[in-house]
Amino acid sequence: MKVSGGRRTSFLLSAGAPALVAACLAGTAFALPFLWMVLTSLASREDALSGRILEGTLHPENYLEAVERMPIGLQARNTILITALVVTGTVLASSFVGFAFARLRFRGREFVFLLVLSSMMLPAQVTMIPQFLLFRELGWIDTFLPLTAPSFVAGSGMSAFFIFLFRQFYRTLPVELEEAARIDGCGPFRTWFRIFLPASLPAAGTCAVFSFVWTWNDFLHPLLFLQSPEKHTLTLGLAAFRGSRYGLSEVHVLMAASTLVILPCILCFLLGQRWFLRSISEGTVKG
Amino acid sequence: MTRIDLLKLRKVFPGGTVAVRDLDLSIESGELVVLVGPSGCGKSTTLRILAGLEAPSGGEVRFDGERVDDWSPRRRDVAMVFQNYALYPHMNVRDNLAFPLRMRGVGKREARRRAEATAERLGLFELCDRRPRELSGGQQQRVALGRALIREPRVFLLDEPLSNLDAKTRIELREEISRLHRETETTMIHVTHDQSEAMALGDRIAVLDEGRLRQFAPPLELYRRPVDRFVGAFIGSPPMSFHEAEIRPEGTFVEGCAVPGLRLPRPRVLLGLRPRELAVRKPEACDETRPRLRGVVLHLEAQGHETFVRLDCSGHGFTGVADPEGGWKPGDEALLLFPAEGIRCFDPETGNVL
Repeated sequence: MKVSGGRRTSFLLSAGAPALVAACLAGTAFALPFLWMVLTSLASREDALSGRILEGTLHPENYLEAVERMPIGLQARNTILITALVVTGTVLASSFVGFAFARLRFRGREFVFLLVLSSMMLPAQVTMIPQFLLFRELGWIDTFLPLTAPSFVAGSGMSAFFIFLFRQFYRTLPVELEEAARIDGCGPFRTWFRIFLPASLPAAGTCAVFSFVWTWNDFLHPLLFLQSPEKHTLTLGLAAFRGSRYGLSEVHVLMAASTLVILPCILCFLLGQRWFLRSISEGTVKG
Repeated sequence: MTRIDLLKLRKVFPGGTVAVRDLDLSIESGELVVLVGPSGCGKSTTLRILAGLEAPSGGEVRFDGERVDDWSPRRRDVAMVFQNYALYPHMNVRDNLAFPLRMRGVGKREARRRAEATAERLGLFELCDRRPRELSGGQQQRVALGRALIREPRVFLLDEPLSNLDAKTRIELREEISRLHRETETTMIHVTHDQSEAMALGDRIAVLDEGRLRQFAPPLELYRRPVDRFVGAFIGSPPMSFHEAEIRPEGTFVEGCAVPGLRLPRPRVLLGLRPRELAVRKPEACDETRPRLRGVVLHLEAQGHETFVRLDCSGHGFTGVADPEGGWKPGDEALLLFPAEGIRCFDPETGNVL
């Protein structure tokens, strides 16, 4: 008893306790809006409007209503298709380009890499209009192509960050791995595809989780490029629902719809966090 | 079975470092040659040029008389084992072994069968499903040997494969490499900085220093007849020591001490003495007539079957061997006996053997 009591006192006096309190406060600050949303989505209409979301009975039927009000099936299908393509394209292309920057020797490599990195500094709003004009020239407006195609050439706004991530990871792999592959008969492409890409699972996992979340939640680009309602994504659907005549009077249904929309993101994050915590810490320690 | 010829091979790195200087070397088909030398002597660079991982700045590489300088590693059909194993981390042992076959168009089934046969041969069969990081260093290097062996390459290259292993595993794998060489009869080139490893493995040993070939000979010849001071000092453990000797009117002197009866080929030479050739005896029990020096015991090093004795002979240190049962202690008077014949003498200026 004495021993454990002594340990507790020393923990409270140590630097651990303030850090713990700070972490709890920050965690609460992040969780609160989310909790608010979930509680509202389960409240009755009156309670939701008056803010008494902790009282009254649970109303899971709000979710059924949300599914009826929004063409959620169609929008989910569109969103899943776009996200799946973007995640695949981003992982493959960023890894490929990252491999080139980490392992192939060519003139001007560092300069080009710097250019790629500096593209991270550009806010999306700056490139929005030129992008729109370009895709209109190509006849891609109101198709999924402007949203998905750039990721396959590592040309989407977030690619620079992932290229950087893969490059750092590949620099930690020993040169001999590449040489062993060459001796075993691989050219640069096969070395990347058969050895480096599969060996970079932590980086690929991080890349997949982030690009999934960013694409799933993206509102601006679908708004810009998609016009027909049957091509809309979930974020556009939510916005349309909020702007409709029920939007503000039926907060409980809106919140139920929102909860449904972000659920896949939360699942993806929870499943993927093991990977990206590892890759981020490995990148910083070794890279 | 491939004969390898290096003709005037040269490698200059960007920045001007000359790693290999006009190296001429002919390796017979089926021979196991060890390239040995201190770090920076160009041995690894030479191996990497042979593998096709590095392009030579000049000279030629020939396999069976055919120039291969501009061939890719794949076309040369060489296999290489690296110091840090370089196994593919995401593949299990079986897939690591099968990979070179798959890259050469062998079918999945056949590759798997041969991978398992190779694993069996190297005592790795139980580990087939493990990933490299679940293996010890010795096991990983066995897998790397298997991966090199499996596609029956023309030439087998080993770049310090034993340097990351502990002493016991190193000796085990050394025997394994010898055995594989005997069984496959493939031309093998092994790079190491460890002279005892070179002596144990090589049919012939090439001693390199600063990018130059110093001597290329079988192990015993290197030990008995080093061509210069560098080879003498590098090969053999404990190392050869060097002492100035000269003939004066009053007799032969080594480091200023008179050694009656010692014959020299020239008035001034550098003697290369191996501790094992110098016998240390008690003055009262010595009835031999060999050339000798008188000294005092400074320090003793028991090895079990022999004891190395460090002697002080009027201010100069000499090491010899003594009977381990002799009851020696520091401060004892002792005699250092030179061999009656066969002492190596080097030119004091050039370091070449006389």
